[in-house]
Amino acid sequence: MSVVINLNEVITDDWLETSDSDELGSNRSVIISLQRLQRDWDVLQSSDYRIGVELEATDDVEEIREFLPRLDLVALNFNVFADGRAFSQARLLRERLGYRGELRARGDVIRDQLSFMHRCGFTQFQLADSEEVELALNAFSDISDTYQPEIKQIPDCSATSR
Amino acid sequence: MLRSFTMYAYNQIDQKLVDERVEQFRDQTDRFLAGKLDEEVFKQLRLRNGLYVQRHAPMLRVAVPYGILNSDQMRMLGHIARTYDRGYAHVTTRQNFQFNWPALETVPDILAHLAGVQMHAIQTSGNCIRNVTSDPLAGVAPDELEDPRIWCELLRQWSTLHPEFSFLPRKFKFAVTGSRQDRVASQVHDIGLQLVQNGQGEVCFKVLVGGGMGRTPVIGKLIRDFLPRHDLLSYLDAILRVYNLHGRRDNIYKARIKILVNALGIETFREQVEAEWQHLRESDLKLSDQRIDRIRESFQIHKYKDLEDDDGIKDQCAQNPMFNSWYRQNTQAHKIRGYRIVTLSLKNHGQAPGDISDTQMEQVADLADQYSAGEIRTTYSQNLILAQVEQVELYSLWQALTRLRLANPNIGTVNDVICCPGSDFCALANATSIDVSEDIIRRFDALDKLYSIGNIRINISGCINACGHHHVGNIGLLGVDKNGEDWYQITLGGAASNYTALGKVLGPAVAKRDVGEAIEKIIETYVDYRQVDESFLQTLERIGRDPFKARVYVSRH
Repeated sequence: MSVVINLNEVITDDWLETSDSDELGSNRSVIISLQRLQRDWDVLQSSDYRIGVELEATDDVEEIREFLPRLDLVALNFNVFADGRAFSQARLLRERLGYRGELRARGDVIRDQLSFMHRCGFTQFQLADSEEVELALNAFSDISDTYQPEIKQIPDCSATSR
Repeated sequence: MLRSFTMYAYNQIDQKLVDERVEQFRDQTDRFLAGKLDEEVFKQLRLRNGLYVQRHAPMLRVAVPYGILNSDQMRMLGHIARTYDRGYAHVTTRQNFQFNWPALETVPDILAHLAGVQMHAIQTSGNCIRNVTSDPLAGVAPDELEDPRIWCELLRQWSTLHPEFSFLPRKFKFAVTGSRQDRVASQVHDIGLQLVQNGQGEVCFKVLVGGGMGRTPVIGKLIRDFLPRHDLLSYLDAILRVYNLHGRRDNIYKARIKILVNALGIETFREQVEAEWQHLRESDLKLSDQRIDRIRESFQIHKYKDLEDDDGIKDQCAQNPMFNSWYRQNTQAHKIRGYRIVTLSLKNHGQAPGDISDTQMEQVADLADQYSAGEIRTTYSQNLILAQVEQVELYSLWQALTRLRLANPNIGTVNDVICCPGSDFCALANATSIDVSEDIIRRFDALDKLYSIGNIRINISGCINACGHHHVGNIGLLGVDKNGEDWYQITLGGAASNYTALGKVLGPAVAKRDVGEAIEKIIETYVDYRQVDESFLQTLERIGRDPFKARVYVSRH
């Protein structure tokens, strides 16, 4: 199972990724696709599941605007690390749509992009299998100062334990 | 007091950032060499630090932000050329310096040396916002509306390690000008920014988008005619966001913003940008007067003397024909009385266009200290400029430059060839370019012949990526591979100034051995047909391509 970093510490991942055909089971925290979210919304919204949704780089974040108050996690997928669309999606979620829940990077998530991800509003990083956890945890302190305005109300990574 | 800006001086934050960036890259290089960093990942990281892997060795491209260096920086480049390379460097069309032979494992040390003189190689390559280019005559041009460098530095900071726009569909290039005369090729950049006055006399930005070279050359389109200066960064964020989200990523050759703009049409693209901008306009990206002033105050000031124009130059020109030629061809008017702008020619035979040796670099640094406020500029046409020279010093400067082989009086002529490194160095190139330019320079070496022809721009690219900007050469040469041999396609009619145009193909490609002769035939045709004071482009426009075609293709076999 891949490692998930929350801000600057490794956490036990209690979220279950669920395909569109799977029954929702006993795990009460599920990550589903945008299609399933739209399809099963009537049932899901009144259930006791914690709901996370995963978006692809081609998805328009506006599609989940109406669901956001009910979502505990949004996962943005990096198909390959060099595809930078999720950086824009993250900022739109935080700054345009005002999303305050967990924002997770998943897929080809590499150590040397973690700082950029955090600065775009990601708070959780599900590392690619190739990545070393210790190296990844140090990634946030590579560069101390930045020239761009910070996204407001996102917890700081470098200010935590390390 | 007469004054202008020279260099932006780093503050602690600027310095810390480049220092930390060096250590970050050192760590990445160490991990790569230890087999702990994937090759494709390292490739993307090293490119964003200016490091390519070329035909023979790595190539390191060092940023010269908006084309201005101080003498200490130039000395450091000379030191690097001697210590880590083979004693020379290359000036590019985007005003940067390239080293062709550094060893991979020494690059972190080179970057550390650069950081020591407030330089870096950040974002000189890779699919990100590249180093911003600008007018080499910034601050000294008589036709300048406003010094563009304040804005260039704001752009440098805004684009440096931008968290959202460091992994774009493709590279992204800015050019900024504050003069009436466009010396930055602003119409063939992803974004061209021109400082202009609106109807109320306020200085604004005219914004062009979607220009570029490469295999699909496009002239930039007007997206906004008067952008308030305080909105510059928010508006650019909006353009970049639309591009980042919607630019094509499935085909490297269709990934530049010009393809997106053409696919959507400029009206639709503009609407999307405007919609995005409405959300960003009043954000923290809005530039306050204080922020702009802070940048302005970080520039060092050069104070001019109150001088008269020097009458002695007439006598010196009359007495020395070589000085006369150099004065006419390689110097130009300065906005301040008693001063002159001097171009140092990096176009000599026996030398690749834009190349400069370690000792030349160090001595140019000394000359800059002695004659030109300690600053040196790099130009789009791959030459250097000393921009603050007192007229009374011109003769002695000319003597010094002559000794250094930097006074060839050929600026703007057929011999002032713009040229990429070609397949001698570049892994992408199909054909050589340096030997072709050498052939041309030799054919037109006689000054009386050169001057009788007048100013014509020749551009040579070794492949379709068009680093030598052949599309916008009055005469353009594009290297193509034909069964393992170097052939060249000829285009006529390109230009990249206030008038910008893409050249049209003259006819079938010609073999390398015939290229020089073909160029001679083209120029002979122009000289034979031209009317008084007609430029090459004007003659071409009047008579069309056929007379050129007839001479070039009939004369061969």
